[in-house]
Amino acid sequence: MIKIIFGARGRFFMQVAGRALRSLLVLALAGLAGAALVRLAPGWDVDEAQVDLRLSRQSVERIGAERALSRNPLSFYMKYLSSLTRGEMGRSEVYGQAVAQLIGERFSVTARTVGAGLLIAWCAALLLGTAVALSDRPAVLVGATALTASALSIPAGLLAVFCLLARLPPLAAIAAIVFPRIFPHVYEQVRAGRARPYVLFGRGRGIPPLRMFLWYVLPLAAGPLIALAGVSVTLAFSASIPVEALADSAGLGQLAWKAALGRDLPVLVTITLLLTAITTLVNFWSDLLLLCLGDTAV
Amino acid sequence: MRAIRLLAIVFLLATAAISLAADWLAPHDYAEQFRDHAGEPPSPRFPAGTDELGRDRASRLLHACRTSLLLALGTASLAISLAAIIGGVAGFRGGWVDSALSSLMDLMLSLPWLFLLLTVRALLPLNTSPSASISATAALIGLAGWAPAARVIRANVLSVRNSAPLLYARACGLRDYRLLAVHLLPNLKPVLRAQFWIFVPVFLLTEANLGLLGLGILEPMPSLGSMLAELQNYDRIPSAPWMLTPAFLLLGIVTSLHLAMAEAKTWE
Repeated sequence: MIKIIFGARGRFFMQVAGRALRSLLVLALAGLAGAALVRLAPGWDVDEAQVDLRLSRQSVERIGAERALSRNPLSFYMKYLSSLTRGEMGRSEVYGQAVAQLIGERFSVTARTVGAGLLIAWCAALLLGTAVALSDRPAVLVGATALTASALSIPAGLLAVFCLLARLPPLAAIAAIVFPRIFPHVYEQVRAGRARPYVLFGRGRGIPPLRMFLWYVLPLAAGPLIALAGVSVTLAFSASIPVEALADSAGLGQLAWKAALGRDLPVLVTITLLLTAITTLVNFWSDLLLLCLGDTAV
Repeated sequence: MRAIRLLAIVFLLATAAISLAADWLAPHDYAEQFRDHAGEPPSPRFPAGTDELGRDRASRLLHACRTSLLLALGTASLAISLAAIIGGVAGFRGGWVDSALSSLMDLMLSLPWLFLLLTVRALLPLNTSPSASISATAALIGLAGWAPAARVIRANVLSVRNSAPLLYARACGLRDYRLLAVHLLPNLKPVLRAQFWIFVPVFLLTEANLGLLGLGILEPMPSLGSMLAELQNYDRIPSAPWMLTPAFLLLGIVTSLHLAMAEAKTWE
């Protein structure tokens, strides 16, 4: 019906609007889920103030009562969101600075590391995955699979330790963590594309391999790989925690780690919400790209 | 290849058996501190050396292995139960229930779980006992990790629900609970088993990541993750490579689990 009234373009915009709305809803619900988990954590009512000998019993009771007032996750979340719209994210208990300022200072460090790490990981995975899929030698496949399977059997933090031990920068550690998670998908997509009947037919008819690859195999692989690109951003940001903590790099990952050790709730909640927003935004963009490719992909 | 997989299963069984017998096999108590022998290299008395508090690393490794394996198995059980209930109900009921539960799965998959795990783990009470921290860590990881399996289970339930035997059974007037118990669950067993064994290495690695950051199981209880926390001082590794013993054990266990799973799939 929409197609009849507004045409193909109208339907496209309706789909975009629907996805945008869904992303906003997911972000709002994710924030609420995060707030609820934090509020319901058993140690929410407990903090260092209770064992601070400088505070009187009345002061400790007052702090406890203030905390108990915001025990309801929904009211806490609404209060948090309303202060967020005024640009207030609270004050860090560990650093004694405004959370917005702390995050502003460190976001660029993490964005650079994660961005460069993702670029390296994707380039390596695309090149190696395509090369392995195009090569018909079983030894190459076994070698590449053994390499990625070993990397997947090592915790991200340990992989970061090995990279730092080899005097590699943090972005190399991010790339080492993300690469083994992308490579199998790239390989599988290219391999499956090459095995399609019409690709086999084209090869049999003598169409040059490069043309076959660029015109028929690659467009098929594009859709799933774009979806994977969204997931890999979340992966890279998660990997930034152990990497930055171990490399002593002043980014968001290190901030989150130190905040967790120091029970710095305002920082933790804000970083989690920020990361959820980035994840949702990246997934929305990859959805949008898929939507645009929808009609053109083979 | 079959021989390698068999070797992996033997390694896993041997590791599980040795770690379960840690109380009898460990030369020392895992918390006992030999202050005069802190940071020592391997010796006949301390086969894997001692940590910086003077605790026998080999004894701690045996207990750590048991803790991590039990935690991973417990967490996988919790996650697979949640996934089976949520994915099963979504696939079986369909309609708005399916839409709502599928949205919940999407929501869970879009959360940056490592950040949220750090947050909630950091909020455990300061006086939490080590054994309570095991339960709390397992519960947190389990609650965080069920969504990918729920999707797979939902897809399988959908395909089984629309299969000819189930449509026939429904047409014969079989009630929902009987359809579930007699027809659906037995068909889902291989999927549940496969998802369970996919979860175990994933949760072992998650616990290791949390432990490496000092946010896993509380001291003095050892786990493979908490033993990896020593590696935060990675500059010491070249002069004391035996610090990597827990890392290699973890690598061996996770790799063996992957190989054993591949074998199970082949058998099915």
